[in-house]
Amino acid sequence: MDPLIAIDNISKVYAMRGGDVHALRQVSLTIEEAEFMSIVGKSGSGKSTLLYLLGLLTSPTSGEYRIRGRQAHGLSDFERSQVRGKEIGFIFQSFHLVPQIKVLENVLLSARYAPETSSTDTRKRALELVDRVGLSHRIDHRPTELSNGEMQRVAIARALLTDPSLILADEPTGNLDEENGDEVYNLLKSLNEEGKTIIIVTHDAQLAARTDRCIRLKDGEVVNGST
Amino acid sequence: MAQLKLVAEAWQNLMLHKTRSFLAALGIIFGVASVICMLSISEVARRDVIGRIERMGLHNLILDSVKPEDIRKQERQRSEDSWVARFGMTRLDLDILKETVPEIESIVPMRVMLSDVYANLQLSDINVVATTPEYTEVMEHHVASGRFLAAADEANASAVCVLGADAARKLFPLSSAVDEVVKIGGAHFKVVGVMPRKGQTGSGGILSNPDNAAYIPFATSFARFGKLQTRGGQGVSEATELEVNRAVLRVRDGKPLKLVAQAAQNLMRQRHRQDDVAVTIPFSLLKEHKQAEQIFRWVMGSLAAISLLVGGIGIMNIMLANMAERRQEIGLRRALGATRRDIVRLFVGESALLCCLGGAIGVGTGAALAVAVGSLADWTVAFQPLSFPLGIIVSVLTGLIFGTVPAINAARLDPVLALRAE
Repeated sequence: MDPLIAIDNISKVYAMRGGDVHALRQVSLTIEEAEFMSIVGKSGSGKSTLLYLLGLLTSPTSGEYRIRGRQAHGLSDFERSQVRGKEIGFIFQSFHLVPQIKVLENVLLSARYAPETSSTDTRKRALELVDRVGLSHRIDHRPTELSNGEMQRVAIARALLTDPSLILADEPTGNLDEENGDEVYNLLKSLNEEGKTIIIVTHDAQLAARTDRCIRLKDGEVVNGST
Repeated sequence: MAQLKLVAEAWQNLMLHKTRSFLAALGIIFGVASVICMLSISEVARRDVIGRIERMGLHNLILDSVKPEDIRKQERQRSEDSWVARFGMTRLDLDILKETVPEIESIVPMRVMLSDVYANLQLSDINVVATTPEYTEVMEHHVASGRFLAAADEANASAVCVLGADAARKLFPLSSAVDEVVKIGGAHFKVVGVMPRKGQTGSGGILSNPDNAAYIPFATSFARFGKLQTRGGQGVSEATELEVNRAVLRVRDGKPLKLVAQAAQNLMRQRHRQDDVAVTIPFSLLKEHKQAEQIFRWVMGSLAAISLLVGGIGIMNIMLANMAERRQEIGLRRALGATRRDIVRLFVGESALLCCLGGAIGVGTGAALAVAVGSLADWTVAFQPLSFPLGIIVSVLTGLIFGTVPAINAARLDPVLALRAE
């Protein structure tokens, strides 16, 4: 059976005015279903670029990327968007909640681009997810009225709405204190135990140590960890 | 269903920034409002002009006596204290015209009298017009109550009169005017009928307001007041010998108006030494007016286009600012599975909805403005019914066109850079 993700010799070069920037250099990596892994490295090491590449938000300059055996290279914008919408959930360091709309509406936003779900089911599921992250009493609040920890939990609920099999988290605890960080970790861990693949990008060594597998990037190259 | 969702989402996004949305739509609102208002005013003017022309009678020819330039010059350089100005059509002219041009069905003469009109010792600013019984047929203006001047009145030079609607209201505000007596130029005249309201006809002069006139028999005007009419001043008196101010010629159906007009003009030139008769063909006036209208439409169209262009550029600016401000949201939506096309739809939907609302508000404002102007200027407001839906449709199109560039820019954003935007 194909692994969930297989990347082979991937490079990513950003053409900048001051010259090319090599964000990733010939990275190869295989990720199996239901893995709980982290990618660590200093800022500028290319770890976020790798995460967004895995999430089909950007394309490699060279190399091969397969998701569930399918070549990502040949996918159209529509197909890539569909894969993102159905199979991938994103969690960001700065949460990216829409400040003007309420908690529940923020969670529901991820169903906006997955048209086949019925709206009553989606709403029911959104309420369950908000309950799961412990924010049932906050559904009518706006993000600006929440603490950072609460905002990140809303973002996790949003990522889970379409029941994706792959969760990509970019510094999910970066803006949180230890207690809230722990809570987010526990949520991600429990999701992994339910069979979801979790990939966390972090520079928090403690968090990385608590994942099952850790890859370190330096200057766009994998320097240790099993690939 | 998806479209409805899009509209709902666009509405929600616009409502998040009410003030900004409103300011963005202002250009469209004022553009559409001014066009609607101007269209309405021009429609009022159009109906007024066409009404005036049509009331002259599209089968008729109008011959007006005009004071020749020589007489005007003499008046300006006059040395004596009294003089007589002789010009214009005579009764004999009209008889000859009727006999020599068989295409003319009938001729209605009109003579403007300079007499004062009194009722119950009260002076009124009412014009006196002497005419013949055929007036009602030729001008298509029939009495509302009583009767019009009859052939017998003409034959006997009777002292009877018929009042226009406004004249009757002024002279006898509380009672019916029929059978009352008015004093015209010192003589008593019995009111035998009242005309219904007709509205202004043609252009300028006393004869353009048929509602403010008292009509007396043509023969009576000569029998009672003579050929000469005098107007006194301080030590100066001027007299005019003018038998017919205006003659309305009804041309037989199907006969060419232009040729008859030419014949009438030629005859008058032959019989008069001076050029003192002007011929008007209402039908030609109407045609000319319609051509002028076409030009006016182009002007209006260009004005509308310019104001919508300005409005559209305003929308584009705001949408570009909007896009820059919402870069993170665009990145997020892309991460949640939005395609580039979804992003284009999102922004174009917003600008189209904004313009649609702006257009609707503009139509409302313009109509209200037209009603306000109408009530100030005291005219009946008229609208071109098509202008309302058209105003909104054109606004939506403006939104679609000017929203596209910002929307495409938004869709082209690299999602990763968008997510990282500050």
